[in-house]
Amino acid sequence: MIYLVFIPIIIAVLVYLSHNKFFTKVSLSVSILELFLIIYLIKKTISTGPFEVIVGEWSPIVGISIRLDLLNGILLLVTSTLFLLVMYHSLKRWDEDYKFYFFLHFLRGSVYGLIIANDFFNMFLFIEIISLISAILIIYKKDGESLKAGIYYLLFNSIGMIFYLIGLIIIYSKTGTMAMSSLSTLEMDAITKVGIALFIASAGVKSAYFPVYNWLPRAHMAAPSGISALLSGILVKMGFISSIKIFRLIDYSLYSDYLLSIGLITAFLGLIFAISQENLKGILAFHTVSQSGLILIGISQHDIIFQGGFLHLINHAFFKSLLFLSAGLIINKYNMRNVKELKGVFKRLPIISITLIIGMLSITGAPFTSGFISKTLIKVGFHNFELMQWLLHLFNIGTFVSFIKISQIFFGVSHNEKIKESFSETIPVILLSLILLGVGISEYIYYYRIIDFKIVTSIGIYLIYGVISYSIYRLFIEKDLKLMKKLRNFRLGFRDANLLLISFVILTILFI
Amino acid sequence: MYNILLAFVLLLIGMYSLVIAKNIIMSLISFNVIQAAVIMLFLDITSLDKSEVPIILHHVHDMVDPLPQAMMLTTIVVGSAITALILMMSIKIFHYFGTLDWKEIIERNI
Repeated sequence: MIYLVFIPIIIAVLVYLSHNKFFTKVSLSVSILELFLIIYLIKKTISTGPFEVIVGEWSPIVGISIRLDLLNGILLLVTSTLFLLVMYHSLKRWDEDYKFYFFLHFLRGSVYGLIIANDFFNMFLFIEIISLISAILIIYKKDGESLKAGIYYLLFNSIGMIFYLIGLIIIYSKTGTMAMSSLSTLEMDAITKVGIALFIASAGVKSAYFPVYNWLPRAHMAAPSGISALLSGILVKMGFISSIKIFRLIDYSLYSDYLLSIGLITAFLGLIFAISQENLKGILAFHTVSQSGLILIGISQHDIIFQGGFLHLINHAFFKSLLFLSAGLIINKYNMRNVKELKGVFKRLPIISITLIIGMLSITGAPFTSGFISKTLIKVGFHNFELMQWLLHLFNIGTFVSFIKISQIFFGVSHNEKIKESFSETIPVILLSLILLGVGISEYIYYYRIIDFKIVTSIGIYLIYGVISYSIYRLFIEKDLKLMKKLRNFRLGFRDANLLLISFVILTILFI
Repeated sequence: MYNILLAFVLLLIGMYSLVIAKNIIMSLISFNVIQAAVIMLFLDITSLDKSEVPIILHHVHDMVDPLPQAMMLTTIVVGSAITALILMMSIKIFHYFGTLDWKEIIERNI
């Protein structure tokens, strides 16, 4: 199973050494083979159950252990699919550039490594490699904006990972081993709790929880659109993946309330900032923050809500990358980013507009789409928590408002005759929207017997959301109030971000 | 014991300078200081008193746990890679903006 990490890395090195245009294209087909390999591994885990391997047959105390179960397998499948589509999407723009593909293949290998890693130190190492490579990919355009975002991202994330290292020290000095399974035997006294709190806080930096979300919109706005799709589809999820791995072993009901409140604040603030933005990618980037909050609300709880959160993690990976790829195509064609300046997209680029609409339907939770299933699972889980229901309705309306803002680009007339779409470049977004619809329907069929979805009521509620948010948009958002301008131009300096990071870590330790 | 105390002092110095740093290079140095402090803390906590170097010889009985040492070596390598990349980026940023001050760089729109 360790070859799963090394195949992409070896391909990366071959691509770099050959620097041949043809070989770069061939390397994509190898990742299709990888996809089949992962499907085979998932089949194997379904029939024989999860399996653990110690690399080099050392004793489990000192060895590097890797583990594959159904949850990891699904994450591997999502990662592999998204990377394949993004690589295909980038083929046109970065065709000549073998170095770009070197980094993409390498990044894929290290993401696989993180997903199957089963000890704390390897997780740390893979997260650091991912930060390094994604920083290089963020600054790939080499303009001022992306350099700024890249240095902010790399430095801030590395400082966040230092806290992970401190947590590692605490756990190691208690157990004397790095193996993750040692955590389940550990007694939950004060020092262990501090260690786990540090792990959770550093995962928060990677997944952009409330006070430490600031690197994310910058990085998303500055990166090439394929990389933004990967960033919010997979790399932001790394923090959640490491949290889930820890949560599986301990009783985390201790942390539930704290993480729930952090998730609520994150979801709310992300929405407020998203509504105030005018940059197309900016709106999507702040939406990633808000959806992160929603996923956090899900995975901090148990049973059905946890399932909803995990499904939302996967669905969000698909629909947000679809939105970013479509938005990237539109931005490249028009060569502008402002929502108010983009006009008449539907007439000029019909296929891309349809895929964008499918993504928007999913993220707002239209019935039968994948976003609907996971949001409903979370809502059903909180059925005896009145306030939570209203807050979830509020978040949905906020999401709706910001996507009504984006949908204004479809109307109007564009006088630029040169803007045309060719079928070959829309293949990845078409495939992604088909996958998204398929995922939604299969999730619906799976959960159909367990949960009463109340389809008619939900369609009614969805229409009511539409009416309310359209009137909010007409009444407040379109006028572009002063507050909005202030929020849009709000920029947090690096020093303040660090202060917030340190206070976030201290708060996490104190609250738990 | 003194080493642990020293590591904590270094950690606090690093965090303080991270909060007050105005310059990219200053932030980078404080990151390195924090990392050095953490590495020192780890090595000191995991090595027992009066224990010997982890090389297997005939008469060595209580040797230091070798695993943390290997891991901290790896951490140092990762840290140096990050430092190198950030230095490279800061050179580019200086060419682009003519300054390394966080405030000016963040607030300027290009």
